[in-house]
Amino acid sequence: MAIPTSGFTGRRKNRDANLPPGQYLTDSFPVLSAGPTPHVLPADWTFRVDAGPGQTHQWNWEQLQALPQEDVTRDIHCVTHWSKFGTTWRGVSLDTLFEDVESEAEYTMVHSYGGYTTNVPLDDLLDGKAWIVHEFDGEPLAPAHGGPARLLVPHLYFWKSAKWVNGIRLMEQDLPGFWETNGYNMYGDPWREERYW
Amino acid sequence: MMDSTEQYPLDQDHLDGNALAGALDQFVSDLTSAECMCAGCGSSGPLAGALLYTRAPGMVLRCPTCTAVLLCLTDQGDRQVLTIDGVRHLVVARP
Repeated sequence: MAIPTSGFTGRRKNRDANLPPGQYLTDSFPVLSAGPTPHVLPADWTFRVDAGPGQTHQWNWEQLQALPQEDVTRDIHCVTHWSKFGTTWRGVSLDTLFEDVESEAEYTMVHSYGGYTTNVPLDDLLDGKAWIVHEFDGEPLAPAHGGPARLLVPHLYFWKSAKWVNGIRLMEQDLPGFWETNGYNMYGDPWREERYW
Repeated sequence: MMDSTEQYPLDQDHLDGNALAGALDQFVSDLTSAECMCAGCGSSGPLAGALLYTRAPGMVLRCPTCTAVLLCLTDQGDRQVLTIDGVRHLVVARP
């Protein structure tokens, strides 16, 4: 009788250990969208951090590109049950964009072209946990995937990684964004399977 | 300071919500034929003529005139959530 080698089972164990509960692995990159795709030219793109009256910080495309760029490889987990391992992105850390922002606020609302919103606690955007990304897999980010730029906050379900991002507003209290108003969890930790209300 | 129940004490002039059941039947049986007014732009049309996005965590119905969200139907597995913030009113014809 053949003795099974540890090769395949070992690899499967590692793979499963990286897959949050209730998720399946896919090699494709499904496109999910709750509305029409905004087609924003980089020349017209702006991103602002609104920390209250007189505390607005804004960048255009050129200014974003002039900031330190980071290459990021992360697993992503969609609330519709698919996960994709080792996705590669390029963009600017939120730590860089929040460097000169002073605020006591603990929560944020992320805004996108087209009107989409999602809420994320400020702590979940800082300390190397989130980026404004403009490249996927070495190519400019396609409009269907949120181009010219999207938020990437990969430790939360992917609806928090707002496509077509154009701003972040700081808030003193946690208020729901689009999907959070429509049945989805305020926080969205895939490892705790925080999908719904 | 008085709260609203002190100002307007509850009387016996009301029924409970159960009494709505029959009156709402027509809405429940075929909602897609209902005439819907968008709360955003005020345009009207049958729900069946609105724009439905289904490749998303929920079904999102948008106004065909201004693309504002009319309603959203989310499946939580053991229950469904319908939000209708974007609808000003629905009108159904009597059979």
